[in-house]
Amino acid sequence: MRRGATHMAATDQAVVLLKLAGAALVVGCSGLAGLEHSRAQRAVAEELGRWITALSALETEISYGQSRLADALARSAEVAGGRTGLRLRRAAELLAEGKGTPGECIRRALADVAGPPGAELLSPVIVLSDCLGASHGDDQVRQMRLAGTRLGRAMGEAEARADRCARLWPSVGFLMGAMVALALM
Amino acid sequence: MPDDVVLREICPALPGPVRRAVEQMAHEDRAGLNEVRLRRGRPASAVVRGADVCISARGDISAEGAGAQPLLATDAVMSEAVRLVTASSVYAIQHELSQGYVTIPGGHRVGLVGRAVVESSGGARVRTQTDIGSLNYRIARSMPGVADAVLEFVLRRGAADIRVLVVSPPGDGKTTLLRDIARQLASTAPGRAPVRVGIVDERSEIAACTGGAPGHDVGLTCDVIEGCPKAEGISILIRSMAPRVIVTDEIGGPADADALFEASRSGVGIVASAHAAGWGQVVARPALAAAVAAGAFHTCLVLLRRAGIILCQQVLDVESGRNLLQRPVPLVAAGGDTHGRH
Repeated sequence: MRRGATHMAATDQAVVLLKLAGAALVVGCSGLAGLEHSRAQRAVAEELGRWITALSALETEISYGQSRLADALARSAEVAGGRTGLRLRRAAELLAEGKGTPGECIRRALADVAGPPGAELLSPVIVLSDCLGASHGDDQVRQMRLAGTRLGRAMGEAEARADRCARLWPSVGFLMGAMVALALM
Repeated sequence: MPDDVVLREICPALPGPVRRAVEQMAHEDRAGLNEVRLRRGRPASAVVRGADVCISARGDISAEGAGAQPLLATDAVMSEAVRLVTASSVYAIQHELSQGYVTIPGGHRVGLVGRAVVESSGGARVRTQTDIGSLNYRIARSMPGVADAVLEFVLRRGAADIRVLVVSPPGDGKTTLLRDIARQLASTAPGRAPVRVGIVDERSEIAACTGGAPGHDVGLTCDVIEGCPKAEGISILIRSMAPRVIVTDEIGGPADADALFEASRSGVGIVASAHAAGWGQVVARPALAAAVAAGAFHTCLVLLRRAGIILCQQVLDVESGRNLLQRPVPLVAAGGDTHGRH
């Protein structure tokens, strides 16, 4: 009898330990999901910052270097790096191959190299791409600065969102995980 | 293959329907292609072996106006052509656009005319052009050896005193000849060491540089400054590269002529070209007449294209006015190609 009771107590103990481990896993995963969400928001702001850097390099290439647009895009891709660099490099390749207007090439590059920021956040770049290369240098600079200003505003908003997420989402994740764990236990 | 240049360098700058038609052209027609002309809303045409023809959508050519199912240069075709020719970089070629031409890789000049945008201040100066209505792709072919028949006249006073003017109407082979004279002077030849040659290539047609490297063979000891106004380019080359001979295309205004005169006074040889149908027209142009009177040239080669073949019609001794040629000589490439353009 005693041996049976001891065996049952050990089994209960193992079940409790297993539940605790499961709960810890749920809480941990939820917390990590929250952290990941906030990190993704930070990455969007970072990529928008890369676009602003790329536009600045593009302005130099166009106004000072008078480089052909495909070369100018390729050089600003090197300066920008990250996903922005990959997208700009793809657009430069398409343009050099004569695969369409600058607008068409940039839209296709955004689709080919998927990932955030999406088309909505990059609308200043898309609007700019329709007039890129189509006018004299001063006008190009004006259009790029306008796009840069709009991207700067979008980046500010993305950073604020990332800050909010950094504070909120890990806590929400842990809390939700704890609630799920309690409900399951 | 002689038509490789069309497939390799011209076709990428042609809009889709015209490109496909040129690709489908008979091999010998494409090899003799001198120009492709697009006029908004009208049939695409070409100049083949010096004759004006219409191009059909399938690449057949026929006498202008007689072609069945001509290939129309629609608005979409014209927009694509302008985009490809300008490489979507209007800001980088604004000066060329204002002058009415763009040079595409390979040194081929594409003429464009449309609505001129004129500066409102500082006199009537064309700032740029919009609403392009006509394009003319002029195919430049390198013809090594084309200067063989006239090189003895270029060097008739020795390599230390080269002062030669090449004249012809537009499109009759001046640039082709200048390029080969530069190449031959800057290369080793039996009994002659290469001469240091400097090319002032304002329109990137003589050497057709890409990324600083010449697209055409212009010899071993040749330096090229491109995209630079001639007068400034001559002065920069003399200061920086110390050439023995300067080669430059299409002398126009007094500034160009003055710069050539200054160069010749500095002991630098000159090989230059100008638009003129003959010697009479050269001396009728004040800027050129002043350079001639100042002794900038001792020899003048007068070219003419007949039935697609470049002929050297006269070689004039400028001082005596005597023609040194017994009869016109055809200028042909070493391989026998006779269809070089500008």
